[in-house]
Amino acid sequence: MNVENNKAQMRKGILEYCILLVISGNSCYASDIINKLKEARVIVVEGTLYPLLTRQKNAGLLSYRWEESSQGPPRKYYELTDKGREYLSELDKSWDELVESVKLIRKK
Amino acid sequence: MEKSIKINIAGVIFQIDEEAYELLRDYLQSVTGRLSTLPGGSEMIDDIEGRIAELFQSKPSWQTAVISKEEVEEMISTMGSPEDIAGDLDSEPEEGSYTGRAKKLYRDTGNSIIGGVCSGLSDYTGIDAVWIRLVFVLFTLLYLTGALVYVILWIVLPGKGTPVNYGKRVRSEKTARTPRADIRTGNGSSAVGSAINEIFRAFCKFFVILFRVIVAIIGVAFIIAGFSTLFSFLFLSLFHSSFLVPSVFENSMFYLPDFLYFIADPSLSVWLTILTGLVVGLPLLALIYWGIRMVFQFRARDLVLNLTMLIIWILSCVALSIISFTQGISFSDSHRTVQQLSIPASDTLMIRLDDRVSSLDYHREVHLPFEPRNMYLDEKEDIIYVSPELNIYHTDDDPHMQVVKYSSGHSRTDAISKAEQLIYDVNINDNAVDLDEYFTLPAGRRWSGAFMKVRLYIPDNMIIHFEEDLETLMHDDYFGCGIYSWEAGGKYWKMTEGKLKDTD
Repeated sequence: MNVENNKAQMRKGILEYCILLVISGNSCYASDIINKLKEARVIVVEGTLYPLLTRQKNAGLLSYRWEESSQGPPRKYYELTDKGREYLSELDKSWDELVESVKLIRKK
Repeated sequence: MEKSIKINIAGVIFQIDEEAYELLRDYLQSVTGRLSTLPGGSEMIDDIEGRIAELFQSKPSWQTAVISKEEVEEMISTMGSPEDIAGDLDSEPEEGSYTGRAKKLYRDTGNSIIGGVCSGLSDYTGIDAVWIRLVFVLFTLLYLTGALVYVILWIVLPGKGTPVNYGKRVRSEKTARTPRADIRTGNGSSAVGSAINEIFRAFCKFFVILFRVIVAIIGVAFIIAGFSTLFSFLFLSLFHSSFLVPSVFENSMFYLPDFLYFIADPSLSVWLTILTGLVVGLPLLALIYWGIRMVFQFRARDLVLNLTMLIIWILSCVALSIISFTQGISFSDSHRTVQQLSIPASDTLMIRLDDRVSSLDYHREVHLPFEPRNMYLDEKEDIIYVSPELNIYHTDDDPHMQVVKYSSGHSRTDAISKAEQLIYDVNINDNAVDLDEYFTLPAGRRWSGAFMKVRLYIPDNMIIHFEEDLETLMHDDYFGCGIYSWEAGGKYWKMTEGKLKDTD
């Protein structure tokens, strides 16, 4: 049992939720998502994002469209699907419950 | 001296030193190895490559600078190790998502030069498409086996092209994968490879253009041939003149409606005309149509049209054959009848022409194919007039003549009765024989191979005189007994020892 491992586990637990949250605000491409997640310090290495994005896309939570970029190759812009939005509201509820639970326990 | 390598990551060109290149290659190989077995693995790899290119591009001087080992290490620490990236994903696959995961062989039409077979194979095997193309070219030199295999694969393999994307300059999933192949195959292969690919492309373009030009030329030839034949045919059958066809053909050509009128039942001749028109005309129209298609090289959904026309043509052929056959039965047997007539012995025998074609009220003169005889048609009375053929022979007996009548029929007796019904008048007087210029068929009777020969048998020492006009009955060049048709008329000939001698 080490603390780093536990922290990583917790971060991983909320990472998918955070990705959906970022995308729900505005359609954005991978680097935008990375920057926001880095800002929020929920992600350490960038590479982890891509498998998660692909998994969410395959699960039908996300969709993407290609958009030209003035610098370099065209970019994938991700958006939430209807299914993704439902999924996100479930996670929102669950997160609120978790926070409440932790608060409740901490008060004691 | 440091060696630098040019690489292509996600469509962006970078200069990288050798050490850094090896590190990057190993890293990408390791990431690819971990992710490619996951659902959507190739997509993740493309996205990660795109991000790596972005990270390298974030350096202010990336366009001029050479990427160092340190920069690659920095990139790896940002992106995370292959284990970090794959995480526990590969240990807990999503349920049901492993179906369709097996790599499939398809034609990569997005990166194709001809049909995308080579680039598809390249994608499947991981070998650069250039080498696969070279192999195909080499095997094509071996009895065209390469080309054959290529065509088979082209037909068999399903195509999978550039996905429909937003914008024009969009990079496809496949083009994004090409750089990885470049990196994998090592130093310099990208430059040489793309050069060879360009050469392939140029060659293919050249051959495609050449092919199109040749097709267009053949098309023009088709159109010209089709139109000229069609016009000749129309002119021949409608106006009885060969207009476009050189006059060489004039004698052997015949007027179709006449032919039908003479041979076939008049009630069928309309049908025969239509059917013959279809049988001859449809292929010519098809020739013109295909010629036009070849010249303009357009695609048309004409399968139904083509099939319909083909069926109509085949039916016409069958119908025409059946009608011709049933009509042709009357030609299946032929027979002749010989009528012997004696000529009174005299010193001098005059051979004269009696009823003449020139005094006949006929409507049309007809040439049938392979028939040297002239035929005349009286449409009002529906009578056919044909000129017989006169020849002369030597005899040791008394002078006499034979009228040989030939006819075809659907049976022997039919042929005989038809031959007997041929009407021909011969008037024999004391010292003159009057021959008709034509024999006739009974009114309403179709011509069924009827013809007639008149043979004169003359003994030695008899003098014979042919009227000038009689030449119309002498169809053969050689008239007999040593004289020719063109010299016979208007002269007195004496039969001496089997030969006719001019007495003048």
